[in-house]
Amino acid sequence: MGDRMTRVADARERTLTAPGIDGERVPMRDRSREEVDFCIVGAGAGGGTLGAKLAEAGFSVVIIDAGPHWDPTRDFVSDEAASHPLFWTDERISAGEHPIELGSNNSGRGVGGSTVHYSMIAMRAHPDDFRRRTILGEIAGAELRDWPLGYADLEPFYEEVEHDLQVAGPTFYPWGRRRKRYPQREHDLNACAKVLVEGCTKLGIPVAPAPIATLSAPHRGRSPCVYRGFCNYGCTTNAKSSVLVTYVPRAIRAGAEVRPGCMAARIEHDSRGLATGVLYFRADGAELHRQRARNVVVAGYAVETPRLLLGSASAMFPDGMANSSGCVGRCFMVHTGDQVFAKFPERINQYKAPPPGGAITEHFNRTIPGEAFVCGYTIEVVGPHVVDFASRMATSRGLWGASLRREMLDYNYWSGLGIVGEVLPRRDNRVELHHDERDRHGLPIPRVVFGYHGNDQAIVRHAVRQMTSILEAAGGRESWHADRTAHLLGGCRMGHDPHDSVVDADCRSHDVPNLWICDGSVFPTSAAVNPSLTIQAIASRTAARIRELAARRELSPHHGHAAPAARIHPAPRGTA
Amino acid sequence: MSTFLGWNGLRWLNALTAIMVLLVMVDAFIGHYRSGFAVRAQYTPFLSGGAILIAAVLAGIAPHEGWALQLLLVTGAGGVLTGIVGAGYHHYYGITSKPGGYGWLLHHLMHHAPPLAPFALSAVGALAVLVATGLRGSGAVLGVPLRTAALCVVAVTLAGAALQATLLHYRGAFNNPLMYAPLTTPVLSAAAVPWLILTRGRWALLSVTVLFEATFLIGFVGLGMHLRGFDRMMGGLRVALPNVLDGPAMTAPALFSGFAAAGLTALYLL
Repeated sequence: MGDRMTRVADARERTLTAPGIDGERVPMRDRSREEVDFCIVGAGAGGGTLGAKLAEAGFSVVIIDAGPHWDPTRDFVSDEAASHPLFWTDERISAGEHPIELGSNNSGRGVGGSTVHYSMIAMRAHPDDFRRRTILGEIAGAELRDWPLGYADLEPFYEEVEHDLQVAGPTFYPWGRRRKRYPQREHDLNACAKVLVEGCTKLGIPVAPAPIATLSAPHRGRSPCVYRGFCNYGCTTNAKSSVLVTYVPRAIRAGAEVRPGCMAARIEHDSRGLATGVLYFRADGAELHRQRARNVVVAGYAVETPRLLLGSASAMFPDGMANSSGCVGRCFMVHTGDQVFAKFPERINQYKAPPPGGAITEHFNRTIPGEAFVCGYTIEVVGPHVVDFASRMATSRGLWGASLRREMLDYNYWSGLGIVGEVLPRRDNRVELHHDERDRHGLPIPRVVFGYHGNDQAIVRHAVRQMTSILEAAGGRESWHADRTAHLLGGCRMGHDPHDSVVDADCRSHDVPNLWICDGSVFPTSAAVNPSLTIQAIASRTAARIRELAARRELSPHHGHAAPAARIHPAPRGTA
Repeated sequence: MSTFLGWNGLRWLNALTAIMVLLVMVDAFIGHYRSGFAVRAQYTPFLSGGAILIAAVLAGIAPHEGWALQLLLVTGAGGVLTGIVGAGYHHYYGITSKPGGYGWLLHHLMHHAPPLAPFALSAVGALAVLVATGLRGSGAVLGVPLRTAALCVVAVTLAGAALQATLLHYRGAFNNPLMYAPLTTPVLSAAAVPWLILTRGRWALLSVTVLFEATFLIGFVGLGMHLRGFDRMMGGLRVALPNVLDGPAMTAPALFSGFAAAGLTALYLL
């Protein structure tokens, strides 16, 4: 790494503490000097969930995250503008035919990741979502693949995560495979959700209560939601089942160290091509630190995960780690998140209550007969806060100055709907490293290239028509449309074929057997549902598989196995 | 007729009526205040309940005055009617007029006007009618002996209250095992009463007595647990008002105790 000093992290034994969820400090083990079983990069939906499960299984775990370890009782403010530190706003270059917006809508920074500010919609993907290639065949311009695992493989883990998060959902959910009842009951509807229910009922479109990972009843010292509506800016009441208040405290209790303020720079490997640890920068320091590990898990989400892999290129892995297939960074996807707003004669107060409002329709989440496109979308309720809403008014309707101010006086009378629309994977949509732009650590910044497939745009056109008619059926007027994307997926897809995918169904790299990827980047196709629950179910499954592999001594090839008992090994010092 | 602490069964029932109509009004006020008294009819339970309360107090002071008993009879009948009409209102405003209507029945039942709650006023009104009839010297209401009639009112009310409580506890995902309590002795009591009425057996009497006694106690446990429920809401009892408005029904569990006491009174003093 050039002329920078590389050193092993602080050699003194320290007792660490971490923020608890009720304002207290909780003790935490210092594992900076150990060669841990797992070093996980990223403490979000994938990394946080996996870390907790692995630590509870007895493995020694360090989770590093670039952002802070939030204290939910102090760090979250009910203020849109002051909440920007929750988003990953490091410089990135967005390019391509349809460059996407990066930031608040699709990334998180800090322990808990984007689950700290996500909208909590906890949906399962459907059986067909895992078999897109088989069902749809070859589609020109798209690179459809079946997932190497199916709904049946994930079902028990969906159930487990729903239980861990205490998802509040309807007694009978009309779409998808028959399922067990949600652990908690659905929330009441806010006014925007009532608009959706009323409009859908008038048009004969089935609509149901939305499953939301927010408590509707007390659970183990956490209180139910009080419907403040600042969910997207960090929940101050802990009703929101973010990874920060669910899995992270479990991980710490089970002996994991969660180390905030650590920006991963590269993954190290030895002469056999096995990962040996992670080099990272402390918040604003210029020195590199090393965390030695028998296994490395990358859980940085669909931009940062490919970035770290590509940035870890070496003489042995000239195209980046785990990239012999050339798939790292490729087939990057988003969800279309277009929104339609309409004005109502009565007050709506769209900011109140969790933004998903409490109602949802998956009626169009299927290939609709007679339409010229495949796949579909889910219609959800949205409730942007004032600044967010004003910026949409400005960008989508071109309002500014006096006209924007006049329109914003009616902020409380607008109600909106949004979609999660399926986007087909295209090989040209990619994350790559910029050839000369560097970030403050001197790491190459990622360049995100994106363009829609024609099918994606046909879905959006259909969705905008439907959302407009639903809003109008409910009595809305003056509707307008804001185009938007949400969620980042793909870039390190899972698959059976090592020449055509980055990881296998266990999220284990085909090339580097002790390197794992555990986040939304492993999705081969996007599925028109909010991805967090699927990411967490995959993380839970990966943890279960790792336990099985460890029990069979098939986990860590260079150490025989990484079972919890066998912790003392000579520390490998492989550097790239 | 036997007495307890100097009062006969009817006077005890009258006292229970007065206490319970107060409890019913407290919960009705919390619920109706929470919805902002948006419909004028939401004031009705306090007019009707208040009248029953006054009449019961007067009948307590002057149990032999014809006008007082007449007043209790009329207000009691008014309470029965108000409860029935109220249930209609709860049905209309809680389900029919809500988005999604009957397609979202379970949702509306859980989240909006509690469908069976108004019948609590009917039950208390029925007790008032029964007391007034008895104190005026009649041994039967609508041809049914007082004791049997009182037991029937108690059984039906306990069953209804258990149903309503279960619905709301289901909404709370039975987050505490004690939330299953309304499904235990209250339901068994309600089921055992017909057995007693039909067989008049010793075992039936013993069972109903024990079940009523247990239900009486469970009501108090419920009161305590509902207080704890407020405390488990955001901010706990420090922000009592919003948590009382949004939390578990404050006085509802006491109705189990009240009606169980009414049942015991009917068993042993009527």
